[in-house]
Amino acid sequence: MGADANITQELNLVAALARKARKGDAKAFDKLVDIFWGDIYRMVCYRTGSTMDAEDISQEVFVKAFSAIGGLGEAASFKSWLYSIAMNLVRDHYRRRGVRSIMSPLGEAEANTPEPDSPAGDDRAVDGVFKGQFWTKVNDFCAGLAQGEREAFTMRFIDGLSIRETAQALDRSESAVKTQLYRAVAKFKGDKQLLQVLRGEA
Amino acid sequence: MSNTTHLTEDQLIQAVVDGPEAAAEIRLHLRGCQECRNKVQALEAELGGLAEMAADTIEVPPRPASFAAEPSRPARSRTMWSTVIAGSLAAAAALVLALLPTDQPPQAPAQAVVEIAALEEVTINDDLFWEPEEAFSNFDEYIMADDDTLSDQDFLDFVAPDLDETTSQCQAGRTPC
Repeated sequence: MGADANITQELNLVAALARKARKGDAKAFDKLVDIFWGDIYRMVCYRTGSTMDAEDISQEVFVKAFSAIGGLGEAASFKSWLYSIAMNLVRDHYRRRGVRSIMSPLGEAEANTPEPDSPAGDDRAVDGVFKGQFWTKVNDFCAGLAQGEREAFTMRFIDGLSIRETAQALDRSESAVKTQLYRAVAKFKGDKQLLQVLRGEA
Repeated sequence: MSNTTHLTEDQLIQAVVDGPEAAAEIRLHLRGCQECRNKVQALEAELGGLAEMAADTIEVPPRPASFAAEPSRPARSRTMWSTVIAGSLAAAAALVLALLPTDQPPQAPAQAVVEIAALEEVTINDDLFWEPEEAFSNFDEYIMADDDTLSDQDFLDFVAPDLDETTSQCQAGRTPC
Protein backbone atom coordinates (compact mmCIF):
# COMPACT_ATOMS: atom_id res chain seq x y z
CA MET A 1 0.00 0.00 0.00
CA GLY A 2 1.42 3.42 -0.94
CA ALA A 3 2.06 6.29 1.44
CA ASP A 4 -0.89 8.29 0.08
CA ALA A 5 -3.26 5.37 0.63
CA ASN A 6 -1.97 5.01 4.20
CA ILE A 7 -2.56 8.69 4.88
CA THR A 8 -6.07 8.50 3.45
CA GLN A 9 -6.83 5.46 5.56
CA GLU A 10 -5.60 7.21 8.71
CA LEU A 11 -7.62 10.33 7.91
CA ASN A 12 -10.73 8.21 7.46
CA LEU A 13 -10.08 6.41 10.74
CA VAL A 14 -9.59 9.70 12.61
CA ALA A 15 -12.75 11.17 11.12
CA ALA A 16 -14.77 8.07 12.04
CA LEU A 17 -13.44 8.11 15.61
CA ALA A 18 -14.06 11.86 15.92
CA ARG A 19 -17.68 11.39 14.80
CA LYS A 20 -18.20 8.73 17.47
CA ALA A 21 -16.42 10.78 20.13
CA ARG A 22 -18.57 13.79 19.26
CA LYS A 23 -21.61 11.68 20.12
CA GLY A 24 -20.12 10.88 23.52
CA ASP A 25 -18.26 7.64 22.77
CA ALA A 26 -15.49 7.70 25.37
CA LYS A 27 -13.65 4.72 23.87
CA ALA A 28 -13.43 6.43 20.50
CA PHE A 29 -11.96 9.49 22.17
CA ASP A 30 -9.48 7.26 23.97
CA LYS A 31 -8.29 5.90 20.61
CA LEU A 32 -7.85 9.45 19.34
CA VAL A 33 -5.63 10.11 22.35
CA ASP A 34 -3.59 7.02 21.39
CA ILE A 35 -3.16 8.36 17.88
CA PHE A 36 -2.29 11.95 18.73
CA TRP A 37 -0.62 11.88 22.15
CA GLY A 38 2.92 11.66 20.75
CA ASP A 39 2.37 14.33 18.09
CA ILE A 40 0.82 16.80 20.52
CA TYR A 41 3.47 16.12 23.17
CA ARG A 42 6.29 16.79 20.67
CA MET A 43 4.55 19.85 19.28
CA VAL A 44 4.29 21.36 22.76
CA CYS A 45 7.79 20.25 23.76
CA TYR A 46 9.33 21.93 20.69
CA ARG A 47 7.72 25.18 21.74
CA THR A 48 8.16 25.14 25.50
CA GLY A 49 11.53 23.44 25.77
CA SER A 50 10.39 21.62 28.89
CA THR A 51 9.26 18.01 29.17
CA MET A 52 7.35 18.78 32.36
CA ASP A 53 5.45 21.67 30.80
CA ALA A 54 4.93 19.60 27.66
CA GLU A 55 3.34 16.78 29.64
CA ASP A 56 1.08 19.12 31.63
CA ILE A 57 0.00 21.12 28.61
CA SER A 58 -0.55 18.00 26.48
CA GLN A 59 -2.83 16.57 29.15
CA GLU A 60 -4.70 19.85 29.27
CA VAL A 61 -5.10 19.76 25.49
CA PHE A 62 -6.90 16.42 25.64
CA VAL A 63 -8.97 17.37 28.68
CA LYS A 64 -10.17 20.47 26.86
CA ALA A 65 -10.71 18.53 23.65
CA PHE A 66 -12.82 15.97 25.48
CA SER A 67 -14.95 18.57 27.17
CA ALA A 68 -15.48 20.57 23.96
CA ILE A 69 -15.72 17.83 21.34
CA GLY A 70 -19.49 18.21 21.16
CA GLY A 71 -18.83 21.53 19.44
CA LEU A 72 -16.40 20.10 16.85
CA GLY A 73 -17.55 21.06 13.36
CA GLU A 74 -16.29 18.71 10.64
CA ALA A 75 -15.08 15.41 12.09
CA ALA A 76 -12.42 15.34 9.36
CA SER A 77 -10.90 18.49 10.87
CA PHE A 78 -10.29 16.88 14.24
CA LYS A 79 -6.49 16.99 13.90
CA SER A 80 -6.28 20.68 13.08
CA TRP A 81 -8.88 21.42 15.77
CA LEU A 82 -6.71 19.58 18.32
CA TYR A 83 -3.62 21.50 17.20
CA SER A 84 -5.49 24.79 17.50
CA ILE A 85 -6.30 23.94 21.13
CA ALA A 86 -2.65 23.06 21.70
CA MET A 87 -1.49 26.26 20.01
CA ASN A 88 -3.77 28.38 22.20
CA LEU A 89 -2.53 26.66 25.34
CA VAL A 90 1.07 27.19 24.25
CA ARG A 91 0.32 30.89 23.71
CA ASP A 92 -1.24 31.03 27.19
CA HIS A 93 1.92 29.42 28.52
CA TYR A 94 4.07 32.09 26.82
CA ARG A 95 1.84 34.78 28.23
CA ARG A 96 2.13 33.43 31.76
CA ARG A 97 5.89 33.05 31.42
CA GLY A 98 6.31 36.29 29.52
CA VAL A 99 8.25 34.66 26.67
CA ARG A 100 7.71 34.61 22.94
CA SER A 101 7.48 31.72 20.51
CA ILE A 102 10.90 30.28 19.70
CA MET A 103 11.59 26.63 19.12
CA SER A 104 14.02 25.47 21.76
CA PRO A 105 14.06 22.16 23.61
CA LEU A 106 17.75 23.01 23.80
CA GLY A 107 18.32 23.29 27.52
CA GLU A 108 17.11 19.76 28.07
CA ALA A 109 19.15 18.30 25.24
CA GLU A 110 22.23 19.77 26.88
CA ALA A 111 21.18 18.73 30.36
CA ASN A 112 20.63 15.15 29.22
CA THR A 113 24.09 14.88 27.72
CA PRO A 114 25.89 12.14 29.68
CA GLU A 115 29.42 12.34 31.05
CA PRO A 116 31.87 11.71 28.17
CA ASP A 117 33.75 8.98 30.04
CA SER A 118 30.72 7.07 31.25
CA PRO A 119 30.19 3.54 29.87
CA ALA A 120 28.57 3.72 26.45
CA GLY A 121 28.56 7.46 26.97
CA ASP A 122 30.45 8.42 23.81
CA ASP A 123 27.61 7.86 21.38
CA ARG A 124 25.11 9.48 23.68
CA ALA A 125 27.43 12.43 24.24
CA VAL A 126 27.75 12.91 20.50
CA ASP A 127 24.01 12.53 20.23
CA GLY A 128 23.47 15.14 22.93
CA VAL A 129 25.88 17.55 21.25
CA PHE A 130 24.15 16.98 17.94
CA LYS A 131 20.72 17.67 19.49
CA GLY A 132 22.11 20.81 21.03
CA GLN A 133 23.57 21.96 17.69
CA PHE A 134 20.41 21.09 15.84
CA TRP A 135 18.14 23.07 18.14
CA THR A 136 20.56 25.99 18.31
CA LYS A 137 20.43 26.28 14.52
CA VAL A 138 16.67 25.79 14.36
CA ASN A 139 16.25 28.36 17.09
CA ASP A 140 18.49 30.87 15.28
CA PHE A 141 16.61 30.27 12.05
CA CYS A 142 13.19 30.70 13.70
CA ALA A 143 14.35 33.89 15.40
CA GLY A 144 14.89 35.37 11.93
CA LEU A 145 11.31 34.69 10.84
CA ALA A 146 8.30 36.91 11.38
CA GLN A 147 5.84 35.40 13.86
CA GLY A 148 3.35 34.38 11.16
CA GLU A 149 6.09 32.79 9.06
CA ARG A 150 7.47 30.98 12.09
CA GLU A 151 4.12 29.54 13.12
CA ALA A 152 3.30 28.41 9.59
CA PHE A 153 6.77 26.99 8.92
CA THR A 154 7.05 25.06 12.18
CA MET A 155 3.57 23.64 11.93
CA ARG A 156 4.07 22.61 8.30
CA PHE A 157 7.67 21.39 8.30
CA ILE A 158 8.43 20.44 11.91
CA ASP A 159 5.04 19.22 13.17
CA GLY A 160 4.30 17.80 9.72
CA LEU A 161 0.77 19.13 9.15
CA SER A 162 -0.51 19.64 5.62
CA ILE A 163 -1.07 23.17 4.34
CA ARG A 164 -4.80 22.77 4.84
CA GLU A 165 -4.39 21.52 8.41
CA THR A 166 -1.89 24.29 9.16
CA ALA A 167 -4.31 26.91 7.85
CA GLN A 168 -7.18 25.50 9.93
CA ALA A 169 -5.09 25.16 13.08
CA LEU A 170 -3.81 28.74 12.79
CA ASP A 171 -7.18 30.05 11.64
CA ARG A 172 -5.73 31.54 8.46
CA SER A 173 -6.54 31.09 4.80
CA GLU A 174 -4.55 28.54 2.82
CA SER A 175 -3.25 31.24 0.52
CA ALA A 176 -2.02 33.29 3.50
CA VAL A 177 -0.21 30.22 4.87
CA LYS A 178 1.35 29.51 1.46
CA THR A 179 2.62 33.07 1.18
CA GLN A 180 4.19 32.82 4.63
CA LEU A 181 5.73 29.47 3.70
CA TYR A 182 7.24 30.84 0.45
CA ARG A 183 9.03 33.51 2.47
CA ALA A 184 10.09 31.14 5.24
CA VAL A 185 11.39 28.47 2.84
CA ALA A 186 13.35 31.13 0.92
CA LYS A 187 15.06 32.05 4.22
CA PHE A 188 15.56 28.35 5.01
CA LYS A 189 17.35 27.88 1.68
CA GLY A 190 19.71 30.68 2.61
CA ASP A 191 20.50 29.39 6.09
CA LYS A 192 23.77 27.59 5.37
CA GLN A 193 24.46 26.67 8.99
CA LEU A 194 21.14 24.93 9.48
CA LEU A 195 21.50 23.17 6.14
CA GLN A 196 24.96 21.93 7.15
CA VAL A 197 23.51 20.38 10.30
CA LEU A 198 20.69 18.79 8.33
CA ARG A 199 23.18 17.38 5.81
CA GLY A 200 25.37 16.04 8.62
CA GLU A 201 28.23 18.35 7.59
CA ALA A 202 28.49 20.29 10.84
CA MET B 1 8.28 27.61 -20.36
CA SER B 2 10.95 25.86 -22.41
CA ASN B 3 13.25 23.31 -20.85
CA THR B 4 16.31 25.39 -21.69
CA THR B 5 15.14 28.02 -19.19
CA HIS B 6 15.19 26.53 -15.72
CA LEU B 7 12.82 27.35 -12.90
CA THR B 8 13.65 30.46 -10.91
CA GLU B 9 14.37 30.24 -7.17
CA ASP B 10 10.84 31.44 -6.42
CA GLN B 11 9.36 28.81 -8.70
CA LEU B 12 11.44 26.08 -7.08
CA ILE B 13 10.11 27.17 -3.71
CA GLN B 14 6.56 27.25 -5.03
CA ALA B 15 7.03 23.75 -6.41
CA VAL B 16 8.09 22.51 -2.97
CA VAL B 17 5.46 24.35 -0.95
CA ASP B 18 2.53 23.77 -3.31
CA GLY B 19 3.46 20.20 -4.25
CA PRO B 20 0.96 18.68 -6.69
CA GLU B 21 -1.05 21.92 -6.58
CA ALA B 22 1.81 23.95 -8.07
CA ALA B 23 1.06 26.08 -11.12
CA ALA B 24 0.64 24.10 -14.36
CA GLU B 25 3.67 25.68 -16.03
CA ILE B 26 5.89 24.65 -13.10
CA ARG B 27 4.59 21.08 -13.13
CA LEU B 28 5.00 20.92 -16.89
CA HIS B 29 8.58 22.10 -16.70
CA LEU B 30 9.44 19.66 -13.94
CA ARG B 31 8.11 16.79 -16.01
CA GLY B 32 10.74 17.44 -18.65
CA CYS B 33 13.67 18.81 -16.62
CA GLN B 34 15.73 16.42 -14.52
CA GLU B 35 17.95 19.21 -13.19
CA CYS B 36 15.06 21.18 -11.71
CA ARG B 37 13.45 17.99 -10.44
CA ASN B 38 16.68 17.21 -8.58
CA LYS B 39 16.71 20.66 -7.01
CA VAL B 40 13.10 20.32 -5.88
CA GLN B 41 13.73 16.86 -4.46
CA ALA B 42 16.84 18.05 -2.60
CA LEU B 43 14.94 20.90 -0.96
CA GLU B 44 12.04 18.58 -0.09
CA ALA B 45 14.50 16.15 1.51
CA GLU B 46 16.10 18.91 3.60
CA LEU B 47 12.73 20.14 4.82
CA GLY B 48 11.64 16.57 5.49
CA GLY B 49 14.84 15.99 7.49
CA LEU B 50 13.85 18.85 9.75
CA ALA B 51 10.74 17.05 11.04
CA GLU B 52 12.58 13.72 11.34
CA MET B 53 15.50 15.14 13.30
CA ALA B 54 13.22 17.17 15.54
CA ALA B 55 11.17 14.07 16.35
CA ASP B 56 14.33 12.08 17.08
CA THR B 57 15.40 14.53 19.77
CA ILE B 58 12.26 14.05 21.86
CA GLU B 59 11.39 10.97 23.85
CA VAL B 60 7.63 10.78 24.22
CA PRO B 61 6.42 9.56 27.64
CA PRO B 62 3.54 7.09 27.83
CA ARG B 63 0.15 8.73 27.61
CA PRO B 64 -1.87 9.09 30.81
CA ALA B 65 -4.17 6.15 31.48
CA SER B 66 -7.45 7.70 30.44
CA PHE B 67 -8.99 11.07 29.72
CA ALA B 68 -12.49 10.07 28.78
CA ALA B 69 -13.57 7.19 31.00
CA GLU B 70 -11.88 8.52 34.10
CA PRO B 71 -11.07 12.17 33.58
CA SER B 72 -7.74 13.20 35.04
CA ARG B 73 -7.48 16.94 35.13
CA PRO B 74 -4.29 18.70 36.05
CA ALA B 75 -4.33 19.37 39.79
CA ARG B 76 -4.25 23.14 39.33
CA SER B 77 -7.29 23.09 37.09
CA ARG B 78 -9.34 20.85 39.37
CA THR B 79 -8.55 23.06 42.31
CA MET B 80 -9.63 26.07 40.31
CA TRP B 81 -12.99 24.58 39.37
CA SER B 82 -13.58 23.18 42.85
CA THR B 83 -12.94 26.62 44.27
CA VAL B 84 -15.34 28.28 41.84
CA ILE B 85 -18.13 25.77 42.35
CA ALA B 86 -17.71 25.46 46.11
CA GLY B 87 -17.59 29.23 46.42
CA SER B 88 -20.68 29.68 44.24
CA LEU B 89 -22.59 27.06 46.23
CA ALA B 90 -21.57 28.66 49.50
CA ALA B 91 -22.68 32.08 48.25
CA ALA B 92 -26.00 30.61 47.03
CA ALA B 93 -26.54 28.86 50.35
CA ALA B 94 -25.88 32.09 52.22
CA LEU B 95 -28.42 33.88 50.00
CA VAL B 96 -31.07 31.17 50.60
CA LEU B 97 -30.50 31.35 54.34
CA ALA B 98 -30.81 35.11 54.28
CA LEU B 99 -34.11 35.00 52.32
CA LEU B 100 -35.79 32.23 54.35
CA PRO B 101 -39.03 33.26 56.16
CA THR B 102 -38.10 34.22 59.67
CA ASP B 103 -40.86 32.57 61.77
CA GLN B 104 -38.14 30.93 63.73
CA PRO B 105 -35.65 32.87 65.81
CA PRO B 106 -32.56 33.81 63.80
CA GLN B 107 -29.80 31.25 63.79
CA ALA B 108 -26.60 31.99 65.54
CA PRO B 109 -23.93 32.98 62.97
CA ALA B 110 -21.63 30.12 64.01
CA GLN B 111 -24.39 27.59 63.28
CA ALA B 112 -24.95 29.05 59.78
CA VAL B 113 -21.24 28.81 58.99
CA VAL B 114 -21.25 25.14 59.98
CA GLU B 115 -24.18 24.49 57.63
CA ILE B 116 -22.47 26.22 54.69
CA ALA B 117 -19.28 24.26 55.30
CA ALA B 118 -21.28 21.02 55.28
CA LEU B 119 -22.92 22.03 51.99
CA GLU B 120 -19.52 22.59 50.39
CA GLU B 121 -18.31 19.13 51.31
CA VAL B 122 -21.37 17.28 50.13
CA THR B 123 -22.15 18.88 46.81
CA ILE B 124 -18.83 18.65 44.90
CA ASN B 125 -18.81 15.75 42.46
CA ASP B 126 -17.11 15.02 39.16
CA ASP B 127 -20.29 15.22 37.08
CA LEU B 128 -20.20 18.95 37.57
CA PHE B 129 -16.85 19.18 35.76
CA TRP B 130 -17.89 17.50 32.59
CA GLU B 131 -20.64 19.61 31.15
CA PRO B 132 -18.95 22.95 30.76
CA GLU B 133 -20.37 23.53 27.29
CA GLU B 134 -23.84 23.52 28.79
CA ALA B 135 -22.98 25.50 31.84
CA PHE B 136 -20.90 28.13 30.04
CA SER B 137 -22.02 29.06 26.58
CA ASN B 138 -18.75 30.87 25.82
CA PHE B 139 -16.58 27.88 26.62
CA ASP B 140 -15.69 27.12 22.98
CA GLU B 141 -14.83 30.73 22.39
CA TYR B 142 -12.58 30.62 25.43
CA ILE B 143 -10.72 27.62 24.05
CA MET B 144 -10.55 28.60 20.40
CA ALA B 145 -9.84 32.31 20.69
CA ASP B 146 -6.67 33.53 18.99
CA ASP B 147 -4.14 35.93 20.45
CA ASP B 148 -6.75 37.67 22.50
CA THR B 149 -7.57 34.48 24.36
CA LEU B 150 -8.84 35.14 27.84
CA SER B 151 -6.36 34.13 30.48
CA ASP B 152 -7.43 31.64 33.15
CA GLN B 153 -7.86 34.52 35.55
CA ASP B 154 -10.03 36.41 33.04
CA PHE B 155 -12.13 33.33 32.56
CA LEU B 156 -12.48 32.88 36.31
CA ASP B 157 -13.50 36.48 36.61
CA PHE B 158 -16.08 35.89 33.89
CA VAL B 159 -17.48 32.78 35.56
CA ALA B 160 -17.48 34.09 39.12
CA PRO B 161 -16.93 37.81 38.89
CA ASP B 162 -17.69 38.74 42.48
CA LEU B 163 -16.39 35.75 44.33
CA ASP B 164 -13.23 37.34 45.71
CA GLU B 165 -15.01 40.59 46.39
CA THR B 166 -17.80 38.81 48.27
CA THR B 167 -15.29 36.85 50.32
CA SER B 168 -13.25 39.90 51.24
CA GLN B 169 -16.34 41.94 52.13
CA CYS B 170 -17.58 39.06 54.25
CA GLN B 171 -14.22 38.83 55.99
CA ALA B 172 -14.27 42.57 56.61
CA GLY B 173 -17.72 42.22 58.18
CA ARG B 174 -19.39 44.49 55.59
CA THR B 175 -21.71 41.78 54.25
CA PRO B 176 -23.27 38.76 55.91
CA CYS B 177 -21.19 35.58 55.37
